[in-house]
Amino acid sequence: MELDEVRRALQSDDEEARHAALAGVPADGALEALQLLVEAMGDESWRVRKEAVSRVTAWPRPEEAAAGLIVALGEDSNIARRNAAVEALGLVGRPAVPLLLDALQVGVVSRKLVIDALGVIGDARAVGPLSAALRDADANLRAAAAEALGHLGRREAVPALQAALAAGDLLTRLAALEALNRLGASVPYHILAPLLGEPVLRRAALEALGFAGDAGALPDMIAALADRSRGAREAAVTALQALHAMVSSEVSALIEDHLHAAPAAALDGLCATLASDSRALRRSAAALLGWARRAETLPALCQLLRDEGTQDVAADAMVAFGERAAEPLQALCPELDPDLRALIFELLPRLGTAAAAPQLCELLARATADDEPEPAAAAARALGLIGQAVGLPRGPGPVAGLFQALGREGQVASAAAAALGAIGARAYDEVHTLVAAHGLGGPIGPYLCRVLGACGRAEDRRLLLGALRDESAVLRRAAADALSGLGGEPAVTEALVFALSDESISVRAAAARALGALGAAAAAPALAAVALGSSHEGGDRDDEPPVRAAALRALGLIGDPAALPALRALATNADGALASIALEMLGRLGTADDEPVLHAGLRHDDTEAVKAAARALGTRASATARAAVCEALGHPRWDVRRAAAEALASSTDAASRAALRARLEVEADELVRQAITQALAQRG
Amino acid sequence: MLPGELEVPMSMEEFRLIRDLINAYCGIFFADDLKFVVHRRLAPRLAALCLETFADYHRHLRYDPGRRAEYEEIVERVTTNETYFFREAYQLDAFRDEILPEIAARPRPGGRRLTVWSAGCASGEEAYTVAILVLESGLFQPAQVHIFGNDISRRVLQLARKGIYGRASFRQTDERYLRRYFREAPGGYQVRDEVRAMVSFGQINLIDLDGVALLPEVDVIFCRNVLIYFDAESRKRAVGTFHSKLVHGGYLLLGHSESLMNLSTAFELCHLKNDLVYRKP
Repeated sequence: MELDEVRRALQSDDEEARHAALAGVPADGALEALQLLVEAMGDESWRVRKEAVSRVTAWPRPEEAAAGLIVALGEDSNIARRNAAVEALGLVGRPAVPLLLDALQVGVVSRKLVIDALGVIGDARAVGPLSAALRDADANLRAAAAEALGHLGRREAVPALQAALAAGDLLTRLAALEALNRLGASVPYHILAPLLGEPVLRRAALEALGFAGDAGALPDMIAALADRSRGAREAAVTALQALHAMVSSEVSALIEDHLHAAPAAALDGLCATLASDSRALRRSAAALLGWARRAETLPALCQLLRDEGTQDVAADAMVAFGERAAEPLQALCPELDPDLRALIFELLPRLGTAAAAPQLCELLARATADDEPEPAAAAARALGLIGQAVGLPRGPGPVAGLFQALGREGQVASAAAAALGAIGARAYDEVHTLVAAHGLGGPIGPYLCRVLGACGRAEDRRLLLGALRDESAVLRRAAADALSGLGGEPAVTEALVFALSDESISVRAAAARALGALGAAAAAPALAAVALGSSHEGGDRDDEPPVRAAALRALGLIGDPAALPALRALATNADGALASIALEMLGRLGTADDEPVLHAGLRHDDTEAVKAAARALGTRASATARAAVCEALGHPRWDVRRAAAEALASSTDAASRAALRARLEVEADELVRQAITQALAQRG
Repeated sequence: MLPGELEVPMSMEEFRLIRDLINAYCGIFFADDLKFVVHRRLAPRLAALCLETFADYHRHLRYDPGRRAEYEEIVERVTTNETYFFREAYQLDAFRDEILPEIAARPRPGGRRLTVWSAGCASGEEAYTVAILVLESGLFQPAQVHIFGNDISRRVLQLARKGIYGRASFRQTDERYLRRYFREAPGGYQVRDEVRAMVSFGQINLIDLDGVALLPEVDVIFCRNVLIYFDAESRKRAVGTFHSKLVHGGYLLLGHSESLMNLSTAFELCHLKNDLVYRKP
């Protein structure tokens, strides 16, 4: 499009036509074209302005674009263009800085806007001129300079900003204080204390107390929690948390003592902050309430558990109450809805020995029969954790309650089984007596297998081997799973190898997993045959991928070199699940002869297999292996590139190092960059 | 489950791998700063599936023969289904007072009829709201009206089919409508049968072309506050689907904070008295 045509189109009443016209501006760098774009930055439509800014900032000579934009800063009649020019100068960045510093000195265009642009760019060269501007006669300019210095993030600006706190006008002092807060600068308490009395400065001064590191400010900060102004209350919350994070453990204990002794109005202020729109503030307020450990705030903290953004910190806060929380929480539970009850039950074990109080455990035992599955499962989990960590109080209640809960639907029964297993590791006789009396039959049999598996006693093998022959596939699978944790012996290996012929896929897969977990070397030939499937001459006929994958993994865990032929054969299998496991295991067990197979793995269609191949090659010392992994640094998938970078971490050769550095130059993905940086650091 | 010592950690790499699988399955996208949401909501699945790490969970989602059921479970856990009757009233006014009369006035072989799709209908409040507005307009016979609601979540579709809602669903509902189109039922109010008869629900994933192919051409699509959970690519796919399903002159109504900017130029912006909506030329 010719420039005249563009100029005409930019005069159109139709926003769409003006927007489209910008695409027609030639990108050949003619100054007239640049002027048209700068002109369009003042368009009444924000879409047109945005497009013009984007084109100006892509101008081939940034200094030229910056010069045009600085001229636009002097445009008094069109505020939109001036604002767009500031935004565009920020995007042009460093090349604009010398011109802006000149403009600041000359003062032909608005110096305030020049300062704003310098603040957006954030270049260190501006620190000196902006610090000097803090002493300018114009108060607006001083405030703008302080604000810009805050954005610059350079600590060398701190002395000038601190000096500006003594300025006569509130505007400059406020801007300087906010800039110092932005920089996280420590301003002595004696300088901040007088500012607390200025209503305009109070919020920023309170925030600054968080960086001052002076426990002498604590009474002011605690008092501000009850301030009438929400801004001041919230600043006090933020400051107290910041102070707590930066001081010694003695001083942080002092902060906690002050909070514990805080007046009710201060605690009310904290509880009110729990309803803030800001997640960070809600989290800070919850942390402070945890340090305060005042029982009357527990209901408010409980409600915070509903919020995923604050759930963890609210739980930590309640746990910080220690045994003081046990009784109030117990009293609260009946009033709460099922979701909240479940959340409370989940955190009770973290109260330590206080959680093992008989009344609390009775409450949990009763709750395993709750009509709602969530609190019932949570109560079961809690009993398990308490029983495992500190032991349950005497009496049959909790264990009997859990046994009853095995008869309930999925998640409650699973949680009860896990809990009984955890308790059994500490109080085996109590749990085992109940299991033995019931036997492993019936609907709760599979859960009882889990309990025995978690107890981990060799004397239960016989019972479980019997269950491995049961008519129920669910029970057979549960028995195989449980046997994996009870240690190996020939009879168990023999039974599990035979279970590889079970008609149920899940039983066969569980048997393979158990053999791997037991490290049963005698099972390696059988597992290899299963892993190879029907493609293997004379092998088993198992073509089920989950069974073959479990067998493959078991072979790797057993670590028998006899498994290598099977692993090699499956490393190039089209099924990514099988190939990735085979490649991973070859990385652990394989030899130099396997390298061609690993190279082939890098070309697999499934990225999990490619990653496994890269990791396996990373364990090899040959130059070809390293070269192949270096090549994988350019893979289109980020996770493959990351795996390749991790695989190269142990290489010490110059070529790998150069490849990592070269990739770091162009890599945009943050996780991959991290892996490359760590790999380079590991090798010095 | 609460975070802390009870919980299995989720690395950023595991999060991104799982996040990408969820995105490919249903279009919902979690930015990096929402890792904690995915972590907490999926943590109970590890115990349920007897898995030890989120790397195992990722493998389960990639390869397990039963993975489809697990994706459905994920959807139940990560989707936000908060909605209510007569949400964003100004837009519903535009639908009732301007869009419906315009469609009713169109000459159609076989006579006057109306087909509306409530895309991402959650528990059905929007679809039933549309049905009520159509009845209120008096422009169409109920038998001429077909309203389809889809969602990816089985759980919310069950609620939608049942049509029983608690008080929170009626926070913007005129008492007059409540009396006329609902009856008291255990647990709240149930949509009356004549309204329910106009609405059909189905489990359709908005980015699954095979599923969407089961819908007929429609006159109006409501897709409000759904695309905000999608990434740009999935939004484009969904909007492309909407375009293919709309009749010429058909309307697309998005949520008040949503637009087609950078998504599609295939629609024209239509300035109604009460709202700005999109129309297929």
